Amino acid sequence: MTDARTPKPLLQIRDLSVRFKTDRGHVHAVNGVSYDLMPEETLCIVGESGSGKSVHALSILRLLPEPPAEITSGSIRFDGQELLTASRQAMFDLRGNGIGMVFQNPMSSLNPVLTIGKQITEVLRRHMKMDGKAAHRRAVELLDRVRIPNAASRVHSYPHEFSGGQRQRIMIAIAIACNPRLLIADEATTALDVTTQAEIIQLVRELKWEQSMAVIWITHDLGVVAGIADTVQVMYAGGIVERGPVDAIFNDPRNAYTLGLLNSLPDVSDAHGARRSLRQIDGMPPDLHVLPAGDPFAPRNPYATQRCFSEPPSLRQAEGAEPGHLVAAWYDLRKLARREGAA
Amino acid sequence: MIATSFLKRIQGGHVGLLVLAIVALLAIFAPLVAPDNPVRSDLRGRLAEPTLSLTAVGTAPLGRDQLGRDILSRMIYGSRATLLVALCAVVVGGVVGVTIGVVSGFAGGILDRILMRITDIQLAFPLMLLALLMVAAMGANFFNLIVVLALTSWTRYARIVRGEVLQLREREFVLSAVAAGASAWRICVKHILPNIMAPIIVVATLELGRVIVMESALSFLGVGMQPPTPSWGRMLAEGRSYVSRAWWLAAFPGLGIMLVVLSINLIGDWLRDVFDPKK
Repeated sequence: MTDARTPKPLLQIRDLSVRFKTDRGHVHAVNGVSYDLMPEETLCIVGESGSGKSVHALSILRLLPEPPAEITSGSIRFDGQELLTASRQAMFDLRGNGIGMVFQNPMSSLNPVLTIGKQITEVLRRHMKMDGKAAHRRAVELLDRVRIPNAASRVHSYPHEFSGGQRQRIMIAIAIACNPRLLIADEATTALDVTTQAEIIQLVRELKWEQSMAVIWITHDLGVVAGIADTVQVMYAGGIVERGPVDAIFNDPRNAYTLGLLNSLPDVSDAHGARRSLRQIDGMPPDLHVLPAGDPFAPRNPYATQRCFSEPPSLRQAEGAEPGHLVAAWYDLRKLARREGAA
Repeated sequence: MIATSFLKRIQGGHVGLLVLAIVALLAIFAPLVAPDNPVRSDLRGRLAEPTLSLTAVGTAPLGRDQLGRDILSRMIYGSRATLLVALCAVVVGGVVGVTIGVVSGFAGGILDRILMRITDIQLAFPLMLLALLMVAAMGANFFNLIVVLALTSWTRYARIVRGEVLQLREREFVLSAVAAGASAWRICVKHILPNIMAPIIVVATLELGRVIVMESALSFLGVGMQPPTPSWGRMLAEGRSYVSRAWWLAAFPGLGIMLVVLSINLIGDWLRDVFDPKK
């Protein structure tokens, strides 16, 4: 770590709120999200579709189309620089340079009519001010690093000549080309099959150590989280409902939504060999046009208390849990779950 | 064996290129290759039939027109005006149209609406009226003819390019490029333009043919190339009144136009395949 005594966060998000203008009013996609990301930390953000995880990530790089999107409040500081008030030019310089981003669909994230070499060298020439030759050499190195076979000749190939997994590697090569301090992967393995997924995750883990980057990995796959995360952050209805070290979240979930997500995972290594049926979370995510008065998850939450329906819980240290394990809930899941187990 | 494999490798585009190259060379070296002065009239040879033998007024392999001018020489000289006007009009119209289409499609919003309404107005305005007005105001010359033809041409590029850009800008690779630090200008030039080359080439080849025919229509109305400068369109138009008595007056310029347009279409198809990385 860069400075163990007084670590300064690389990314500092405070009270970020994003809404989208629609014909029926505003959709409140992100509501008061605050967190810190340390240098070289890997943060996994999980949640179902519409939980605001992608939107908040896109707003870090100011990639949301404004309008219809509108960042209504908050602050995003990257390496001490405020991004929400940064100039367009400053954002151009930051994207792909200080922060790299990889998207979900590798099949459509590369330009079909340009060779991958051109697409990699473009960022190198843009940010690193490399000349054609140096950029080409670096592009081959990068392709080799992300384990594209025969990189020297493949650099002249077009995207359609690669498989989905290879294309995602190329996207990663572009994202890390300028040695960013932060890599944001938005559902980067969702479109890939499981073995390819594992390879990509392994690759990102290696690159993270080599380049000392921080990683924000957005996914709805808890299996991926277990393989990569230092810290897990669970989002629901545009807010953080629970956040903590990966072991704490998996072994001691304190929010009913986190518990629901974990229960919906198949467990093949069940010690007793007992077959447990998968449990789903009943109900639907809330309509974000009108934010509920209380905890947005309350209507779907079997443990919800009266207070959950009237007052939104704030994120605070969970009782009797590891430091840094934060939860937003009015109930104490440990007691409730134990009572349920006894009954 | 070698001959057949060579023949198989030849594509339409190569033939088109060859034909166009020959026509272009003839146009460039017109004074050297033309057998006669294209504007010298000699009424003794009025409407003389195509013949290879020497007559009293000289040879005329493609015949002579109503003033006894040599059609072959007129065609060789006429290709200069025809090709130059058509190419310039297509390029000018293309540059203007593609620029407006890309800006309109990429920027969207109010700018898009303004540009598209201008396009609609341009499309709705009767071309002949516009051409006559412009020529009346600015005079009939080579430059104005290009301007008029380009004005009738850019809307087609703009419409098609805008449609393509509208769907391209929503594609994920554009977002990826933005996330990699590309500016709007860079995205338009480096990412969007190469993706719309195929439709642009198709429109350009179609437009070239249309513009050549259009130039002949304008020349027929007397607002195109001014006599005595020959152009294929003018020759075709003038020959129409004699078509029952002397078919060669209109037939050869018509054939020339057809051949050039066909060649350009072949080249267009070939270029489109060349630009497609999946081929």
